Amino acid sequence: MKKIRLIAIFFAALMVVNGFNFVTYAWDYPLDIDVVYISFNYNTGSYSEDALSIIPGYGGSVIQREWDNGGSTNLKFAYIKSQTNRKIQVQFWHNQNQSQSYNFAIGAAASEGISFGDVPYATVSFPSNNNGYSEIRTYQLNGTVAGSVGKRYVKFAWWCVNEALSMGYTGNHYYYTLLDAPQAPMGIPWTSVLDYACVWASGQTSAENAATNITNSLYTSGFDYETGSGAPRYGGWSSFYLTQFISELGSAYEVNCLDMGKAVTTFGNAVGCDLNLTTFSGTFALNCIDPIGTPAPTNNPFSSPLIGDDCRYGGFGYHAFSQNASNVTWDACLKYDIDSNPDNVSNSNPGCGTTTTGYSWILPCNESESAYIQRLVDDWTSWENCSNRYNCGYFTYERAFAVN
Amino acid sequence: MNNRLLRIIQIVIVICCFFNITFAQNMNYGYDNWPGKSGVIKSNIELPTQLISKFNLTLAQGSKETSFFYKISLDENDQIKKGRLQAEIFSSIEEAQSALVEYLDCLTTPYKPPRLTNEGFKIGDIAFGEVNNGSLRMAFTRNNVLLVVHAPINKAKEIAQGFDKNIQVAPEWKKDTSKPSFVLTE
Repeated sequence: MKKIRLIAIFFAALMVVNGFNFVTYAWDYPLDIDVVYISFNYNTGSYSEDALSIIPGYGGSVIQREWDNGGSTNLKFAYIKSQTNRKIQVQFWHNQNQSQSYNFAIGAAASEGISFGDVPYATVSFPSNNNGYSEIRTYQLNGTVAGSVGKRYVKFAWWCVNEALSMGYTGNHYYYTLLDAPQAPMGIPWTSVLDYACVWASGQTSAENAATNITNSLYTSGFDYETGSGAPRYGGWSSFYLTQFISELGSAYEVNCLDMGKAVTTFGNAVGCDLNLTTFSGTFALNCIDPIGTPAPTNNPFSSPLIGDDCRYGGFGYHAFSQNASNVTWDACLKYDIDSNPDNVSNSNPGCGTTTTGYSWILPCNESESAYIQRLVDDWTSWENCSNRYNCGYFTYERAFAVN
Repeated sequence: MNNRLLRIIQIVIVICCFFNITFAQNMNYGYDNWPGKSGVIKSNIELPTQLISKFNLTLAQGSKETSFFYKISLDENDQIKKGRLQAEIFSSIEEAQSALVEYLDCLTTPYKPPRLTNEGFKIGDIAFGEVNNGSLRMAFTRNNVLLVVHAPINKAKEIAQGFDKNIQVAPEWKKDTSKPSFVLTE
């Protein structure tokens, strides 16, 4: 008797504390209320209040009702860093008399992981003759999304205040945090891309640093440079075989700069780096480069010797890389030599000169266009004077490509 | 004197290279004079399944009815199968041949592979390719299909010829039917 009195006092206190004003009905024990589904991205036309629209991969549908069927469906969702007070939609089910309507006060708090807010207690209506299902309740969470890129999870503990009833847990809810709204060709990002990009760029708060981490990760991802003719593996100018690229990521397949330029742009833009694919075209000689993967350092790709003097004719017909709107450059295809003799040829001009040894490699990340082209292109060979690098080729900016 | 002579030779070579490359690129590898432009549009092209089985090719993820990518082992140590049989079917011959131009453009080397002549290896309407490190890398079109093959020389030739034959015997595409496609059996 004393226990019942205590529960009644507790319930009344909760009612007062939470300011609820609704009619309740008696219910039969044991009372069971379950979460039927949670939709983090319930409005696919906007992300101003809820999660972003994402798809699993090529041809996939936009993911909604991420958590469903008691957790047997548990899909990922995405927010932009530092977003506040996200909304979610939830439906519940009860085991009570179907002919009667009920109101329960239901909420949740994060019990594990990194939360983007608690689910404040709110009244949920269960109409009569609705097979026990509630209305679809929109909650506005109290909290803020993490301020950096990442792939995180949260677990919610649900409570019904009326009965101080623990409804159990939902989750783990895995979600991505992006820097900004994603850009083409990842306008609607793929989870298969975000699974990599958000890990590679984890903890980054700026587009520049995120792009740098992604570029580093792609350069060391296991691909090899195609030294026969520099053939792309994953499509031409206007298409990127992204599904195949992802499935082969980590293996020593042979790629060229176009593959890697498209990869940096795609993975970067999935987290909101706002990058574009750029090419520099024209037959030009190279300073020493360390191509992606196992091929040896060279200033003479596609020819021999790998380190040639200034009468060598090997070079690039074009090169592809990624740039932002200010033409700052990221390149996951090669490292270049930044020591005092970057082409490893001395005593030339005129004449062929002699080759030397020694390198100081850096991966081109967050480089101004002029510095990048200066370091990539040899300033002089017997057949080309490139003291002004811009005279030895031309840029094509913002090359659009589709992914499949 | 020697330096002067060397300089003149270098200038001549550079001018020759420049004109050679520029001429080839400006002319799209002679695109205007490529044969096969008046051919018919093919559809329902059977894949060379016997060869796919014989050489144990593996279909890459992302393949579909209008374009596919099989992986081919380049040698006995190539477990991941770095070679390829890549095919794409287009709605017109012009599109297929333009895709071949794009393929050549996208090679990073400034020295594009030579045209495969009938005397050497007869394949497709128009074909380019070269041997590198014991394997043949070629790209060609037949009618409205672009094929890229990269495999050990004999294997590449057999696969390319088998597929080329299938294209030639495939039915002509009929207007008012769905877009030309391959018959993917796997």
